[in-house]
Amino acid sequence: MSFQGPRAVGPEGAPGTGDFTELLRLSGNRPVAAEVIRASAPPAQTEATTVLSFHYKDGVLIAGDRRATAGNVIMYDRADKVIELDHDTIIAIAGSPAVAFEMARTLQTSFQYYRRSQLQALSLSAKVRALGRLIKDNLPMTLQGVGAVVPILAARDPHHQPEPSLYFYDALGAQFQAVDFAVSGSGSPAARSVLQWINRWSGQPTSRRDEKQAVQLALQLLDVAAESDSATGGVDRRSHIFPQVKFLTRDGLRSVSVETLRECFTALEAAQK
Amino acid sequence: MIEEPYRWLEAITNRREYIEDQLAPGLPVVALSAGPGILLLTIKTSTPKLFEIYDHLALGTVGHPADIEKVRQTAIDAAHLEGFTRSPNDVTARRLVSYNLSPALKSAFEQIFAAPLLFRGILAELGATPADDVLWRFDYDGSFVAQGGNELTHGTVISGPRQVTKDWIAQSPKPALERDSLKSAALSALRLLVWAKLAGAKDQGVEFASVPAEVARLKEKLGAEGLEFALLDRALLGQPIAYRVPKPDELGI
Repeated sequence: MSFQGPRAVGPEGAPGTGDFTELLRLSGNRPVAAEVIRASAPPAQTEATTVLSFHYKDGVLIAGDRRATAGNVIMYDRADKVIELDHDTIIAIAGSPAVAFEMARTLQTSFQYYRRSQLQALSLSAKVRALGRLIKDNLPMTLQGVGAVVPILAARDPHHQPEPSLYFYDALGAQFQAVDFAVSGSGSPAARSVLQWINRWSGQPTSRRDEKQAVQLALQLLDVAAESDSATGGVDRRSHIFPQVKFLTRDGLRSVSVETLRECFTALEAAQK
Repeated sequence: MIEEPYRWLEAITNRREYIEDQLAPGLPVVALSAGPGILLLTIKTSTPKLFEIYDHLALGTVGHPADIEKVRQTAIDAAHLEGFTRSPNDVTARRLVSYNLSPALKSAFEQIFAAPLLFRGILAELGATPADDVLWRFDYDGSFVAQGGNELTHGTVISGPRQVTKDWIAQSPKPALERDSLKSAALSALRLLVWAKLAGAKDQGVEFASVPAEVARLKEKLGAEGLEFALLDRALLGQPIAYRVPKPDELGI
């Protein structure tokens, strides 16, 4: 390493841009695979998921099941797919965990790198775009049918936009802001249908629900998704494996404890008896 | 001209002399390991001198702002690459100073046809307990010294005049600094800062015992100058950000 070594700089001598992905490229560590690998048949890839997010009374709820599958094999039942990128940003990943976890790690480091090197936090729109760029960089893997990632992002800017916003992406990296809810993953069609019905006809859209009602709805949605999608774990009553549920509000980010999830789910079951 | 060894030695000697002259007006930076964390303290100027480098690393600097920036960015680059490609637990001040910053500084120092780097720094690494903390002093010529364990009880200081650090190390008997609470650590750090400022301004040594122990009197000694401070907070160790700027009330200064 020298003071002229690989750095996230523009022209020689220009100040650092704070771009960690560029620093990775310059140092020979690319954030995601960008080459087309020719193989006779794609390997059985580990996949996931149902992740969902919606606006509730106090902010945004974001949740995901815990199952990872490869074909018809359940690889893992305790995968963490809802990941905190920093104090104000959460990603929920659907697709190939190998790529998705790497994307999340790249973003975590990128945000901190930018803040430390530029002595200011990355803006909300730049964070949203940073994820879109990583998805776009992953296009060769997506086109080959391995490594596609379609995440959801919940984020806020504590100084300029304290109310949390919700974004979803397509597999090519386009980003869209969700007004009411966003879902992704193989089990998401079921959850989407229920959410559409709730927001249009139930008389109690998600945005009017309080914290407890929001958690219960998330558990119900994941349970419904798991009924029709083998790649979604739902709620594992026997092994006490619950989905991940997090809140992003004006006050910041918070995880819902397993105890609270258990209480909420037990109450839902009791109400059916 | 510099093919002859003595010419090279002369050039290096002149270079060192020039750098020391340029650094001489630099104000002191104090780092003190205490129960609540590692406190860094300096006199406020128009450009910041205390920086967050990584989750548990902070840098205190003396020198030219542009050169400080080069070293700071290099440290941040190296730390984040290491943290990403291996893990945050693999990012240590020892490896950062020994294998990245020191060789780069030495190389820059010995390139006698290029402009020299005007830089002196302390890299602080927060540990699980005060005994695990380490402070690394390193210089424009690539030299570095680690201060850990019992030595940390006395804090460390860098300043424009190199002699200030030597004088502090030579102080005998070593004064016992209070550092159980954040406020007591801040008062100790402030005393050390005032001592270093006085010691740097005088040709002869200043006894630490002669430095007042009250905040108001210490601030009188600093005059109208404000303070810049930062804390590597032990309560936040293990989280992505242990570096924070405490409120003056927390420090009581």
